[in-house]
Amino acid sequence: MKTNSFLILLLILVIPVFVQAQDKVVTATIKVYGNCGMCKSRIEKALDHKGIKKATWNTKTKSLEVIYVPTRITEKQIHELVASVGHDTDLVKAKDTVYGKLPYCCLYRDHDHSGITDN
Amino acid sequence: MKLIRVLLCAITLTMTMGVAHAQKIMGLVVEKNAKGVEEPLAGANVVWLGTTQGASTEANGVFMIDPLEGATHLVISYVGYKSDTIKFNPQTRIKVILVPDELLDEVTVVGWKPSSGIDHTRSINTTVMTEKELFKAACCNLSESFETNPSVDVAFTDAITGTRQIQMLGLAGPNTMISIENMPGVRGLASSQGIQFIPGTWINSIQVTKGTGSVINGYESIAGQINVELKKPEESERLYVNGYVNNAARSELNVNYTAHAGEKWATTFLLHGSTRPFEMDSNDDSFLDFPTGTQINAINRWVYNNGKGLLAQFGVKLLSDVKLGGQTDFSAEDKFTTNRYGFEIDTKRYEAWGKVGYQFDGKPYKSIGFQWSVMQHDHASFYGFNEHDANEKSVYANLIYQSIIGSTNHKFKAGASFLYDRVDETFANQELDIIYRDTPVNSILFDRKEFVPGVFMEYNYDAGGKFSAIAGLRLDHHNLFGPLYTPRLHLRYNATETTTLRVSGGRGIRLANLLTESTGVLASARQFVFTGLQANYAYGYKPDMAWNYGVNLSQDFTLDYRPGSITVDYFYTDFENQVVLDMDYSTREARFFGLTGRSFSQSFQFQVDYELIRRFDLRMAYRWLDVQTDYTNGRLTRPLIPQHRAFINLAYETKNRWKFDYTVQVLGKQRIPNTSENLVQYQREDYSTSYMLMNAQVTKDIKDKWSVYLGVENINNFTLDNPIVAADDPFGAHNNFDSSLVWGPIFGRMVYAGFRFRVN
Repeated sequence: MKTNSFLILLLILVIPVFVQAQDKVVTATIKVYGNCGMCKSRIEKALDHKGIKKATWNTKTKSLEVIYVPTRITEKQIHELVASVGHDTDLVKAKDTVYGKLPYCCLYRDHDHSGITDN
Repeated sequence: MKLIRVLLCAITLTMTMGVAHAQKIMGLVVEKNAKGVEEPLAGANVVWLGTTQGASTEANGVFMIDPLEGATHLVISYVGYKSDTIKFNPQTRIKVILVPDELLDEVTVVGWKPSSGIDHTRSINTTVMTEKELFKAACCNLSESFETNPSVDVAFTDAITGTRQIQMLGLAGPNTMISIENMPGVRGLASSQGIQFIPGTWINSIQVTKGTGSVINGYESIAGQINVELKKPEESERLYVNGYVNNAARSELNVNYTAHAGEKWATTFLLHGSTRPFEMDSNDDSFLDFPTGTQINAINRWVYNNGKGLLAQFGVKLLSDVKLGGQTDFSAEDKFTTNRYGFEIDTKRYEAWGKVGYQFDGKPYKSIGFQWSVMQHDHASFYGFNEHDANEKSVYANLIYQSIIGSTNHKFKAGASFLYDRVDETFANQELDIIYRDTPVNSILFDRKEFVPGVFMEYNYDAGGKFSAIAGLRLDHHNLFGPLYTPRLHLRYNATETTTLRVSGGRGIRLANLLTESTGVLASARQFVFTGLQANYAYGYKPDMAWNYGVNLSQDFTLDYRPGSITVDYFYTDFENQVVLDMDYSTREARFFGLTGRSFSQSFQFQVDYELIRRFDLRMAYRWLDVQTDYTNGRLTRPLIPQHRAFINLAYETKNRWKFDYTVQVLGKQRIPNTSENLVQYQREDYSTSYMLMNAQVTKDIKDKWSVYLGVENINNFTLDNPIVAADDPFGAHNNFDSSLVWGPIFGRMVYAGFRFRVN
């Protein structure tokens, strides 16, 4: 009996994964300014948001690849999400007050990342 | 109408201008370090020239200053640096590089870089459990750290001593080699209590290797290797305080403190104190559910780094642990009487260790390392009429040279090791004779001295391609049982980018510490019988030797843009020799004999890891075990091991750092040793029932420094009705008393809470 209820629990957990509505998905590449690994985690964390399936920012090329569902979020909103944590995109600039609170290594407007090691 | 519109426009315009005026001016202040790299200056003063209106820079070197009517120049100053005056221009960014005042000598502190740690040779399938994983079960020491790891089982050895034992592949704890920073850790006399002597907050990470391991750290691993990395001075928080309490008043306090002394030295103190102050008997069988007791445990370790390739470290550890249990209200006068059943384990342990490593300049692949440790362990215990006292002194040294053959595709490690172990051990029973070599005695000495010099070599092929291999061999010479050879092989093949197949095989050898490993039967009225002897040293038996073979297939996948993996593995362990504890020959006896037939274990495991939705991880596992031994009266399944185990762990983390963890597991039925000779009321079923266990925990990180957690263990409150056989008559003439037949929890639902405070 106990094993049975356990199996049912297991099914309840797994089934939703496969029956999830398959909305149309779009991949966009966006230029996002930043410097280091800390920037990367900040940018990607900001895009932990409804409608966004996956977001990966490349520290070297400064390009953000974002996979999202256009019916739930627009590309403009994605730019705004990135800017809201202090990172400029080609479309939206971050506010000075937000930018000024970034840790030193992420102050991409004032210096590049050469010679600085990530922690 | 028009007028209103114009007015509105004007108002809006003024407002916007007002905002623009109020907008602060931002700038950055840096200095150049010795290497010419710019670094932020925190706390520098910035004022408008000729005024006192100003601001100062934050940790990132940034200042924000209000614009001031008529002011055009900013003065930037910092103690020890030449002041600078700049003209403010709204069109350019403000960035000031301050130059040190030559009169004051600049002090630069060389940062501590985290040590590279052990290199994770990818051919060996090792699971690394980081702090994040360990925090999922916040309580309390190494014995409780494996709740989220389906490969490692932790079971109670008996219903009196509260001793927990690790099992891998269905084989009892000591078959798994537990090392601490790749040096002897939980072995010898510590093999039963030792995993409770490593507090969770001291642990940086745990590496779990199933099946055969590397030859570098010795020949002892049979079922697997668990290596524990403790907190190190070069990468630890400055201060870390952890407090824990549960509803049975078990209380723990841990303090880690790290300090840097000069540029090259750093030290860490790891301190632990814990207590179980109250007697608890929730099932009213007159026996404590858990022993009471206290533990004081401390490490002080140092590291030296000259910045030119030489890295040295050493440390000391002191431990004192007392456990008292048995029947409620047992007092010292009751010892060795039939008044009350009592139990005590008193442990004192002193250790010192060191490591020196040198990395050759410009050759990152070439290094030489030497590690050593010395240790003394005192163990004094009694369980009813059984008395067990032992003392162990041990010295260990290992020299490892690491380089390449031709190119970095072919690496090797070679070296030599030495182990000295001296154990003075007395076992006595104040009432019942011990049968040794068919002779009844009331006390017996198991003193022994081991000298084991050895050499080893491990070759590692890894060209970054689909295939890699590690082949190792060690040769040791044991003063008591002669030459020992230990070959081990690991192969890895990547069929596709996401499919990895691993195969391993090898031999493991260890000298069993029979009494320390048999805590369960010590806490029973069984008569100890040592028969089928094989040798004249130690307990009279040859060492346990086994071959272990394993296959592991893992497939990574991405489903709906989130990663997951499926792992299937199978391990087979075949004992050439084993000292077997036979509990079925007679209910009256704990009968040890040297294996004459076969003894083996088969383990199959299926595991799925997947991120169900963002930040919500699922881990499911199923494990099947088949462990059999040829006992005196024929082949039987090993007792008290569930053949089936299913496991689900769910972990969810919110964006604002609430963490929810939930684990549920089902353990299948277990064989209970034969009790048919007992009085009818003390007989047990042949098999236990299957049961479910659930744990849950909520953690909240507050700011960067604090974190608090609240958890419940054994939520469904499953307990054994009557864990101790003949608890109502521990000294009865029929000697039915037995606390070792435990197959489930003794204590019911347990609520705990704690906090962590960390300063970096």
